[in-house]
Amino acid sequence: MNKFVKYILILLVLAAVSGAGAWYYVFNKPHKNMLNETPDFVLTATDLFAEFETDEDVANAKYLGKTLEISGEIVEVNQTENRYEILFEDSMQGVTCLIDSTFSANNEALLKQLTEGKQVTVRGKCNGMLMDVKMNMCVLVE
Amino acid sequence: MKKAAIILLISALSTVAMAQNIFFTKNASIRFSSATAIENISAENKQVVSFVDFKKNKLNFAVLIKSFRFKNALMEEHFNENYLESDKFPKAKFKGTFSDISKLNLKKDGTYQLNVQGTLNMHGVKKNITVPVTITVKSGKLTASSKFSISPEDYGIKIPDVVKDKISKSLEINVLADYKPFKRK
Repeated sequence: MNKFVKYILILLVLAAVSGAGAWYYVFNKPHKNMLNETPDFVLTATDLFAEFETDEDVANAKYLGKTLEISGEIVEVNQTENRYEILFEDSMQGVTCLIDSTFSANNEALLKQLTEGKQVTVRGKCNGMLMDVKMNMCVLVE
Repeated sequence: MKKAAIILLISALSTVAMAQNIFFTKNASIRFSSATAIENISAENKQVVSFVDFKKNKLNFAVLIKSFRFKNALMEEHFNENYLESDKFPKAKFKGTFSDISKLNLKKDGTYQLNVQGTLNMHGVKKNITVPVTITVKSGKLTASSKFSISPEDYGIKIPDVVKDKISKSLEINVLADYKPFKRK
């Protein structure tokens, strides 16, 4: 009988610990790391901007919050301290990709080499369009 | 020939003068914070677009809701899915005019305290608000900042009872914009 109570107690403690662990994990789950994400769509910056410009509502329904892998020729790199932004197509009306701060902290040397005219592929989250199509949490994949 | 050159020069000069009245930025930031006894929450968006046209007395801000970053990933998810419903309402916009624009002298360096009256359009709800704006002019460069409060309830944002004590009824909004003169291509 004593042994039985002991088992029950152990089971209860285990349940409580795993419950607390699961709660802790859900509540403190990490942000997505785009390096480990599979893109929902792979396309060129030119096509992405064109789709948003043709019909924003349709493009929103298709791309909002999705992981996109886009490639194109850099037209501008905006850098202030640790904040990097890569612009495609046009500096006013194109696609703007804000690089993930953790990624930029770990890959400064790589980002410093980026210049106008370079061909790159970026993976990130699409947030919609203002003047340009905005992406954030971006990482360089090529 | 000389006449044509003069006309060209004058029109070039006038476009320069006109351009100086319009400033823009694509990298303004908006931070909001909620402070309660239980929890402090804040999020920041550094991809805010803003235009200011002093000649027409117009000030515009546009932001994508999904660009707000939280420290906590779950909060970011709830903010987008449950509260702001960013799939349905991806943008928030503010359009306003300075109620006391005469106080501002763009040619003179200094800090100017102004008020902006306008409409904030968020979560599908439009509301008129008046906010204080501090404008700093320094050698042709223009910076604007503003601090004000809004209530999520006013914009039809429902906060469930379970988390009611964790989210403040009044959110503090901080806006910071470093403008560049706008040049037409």
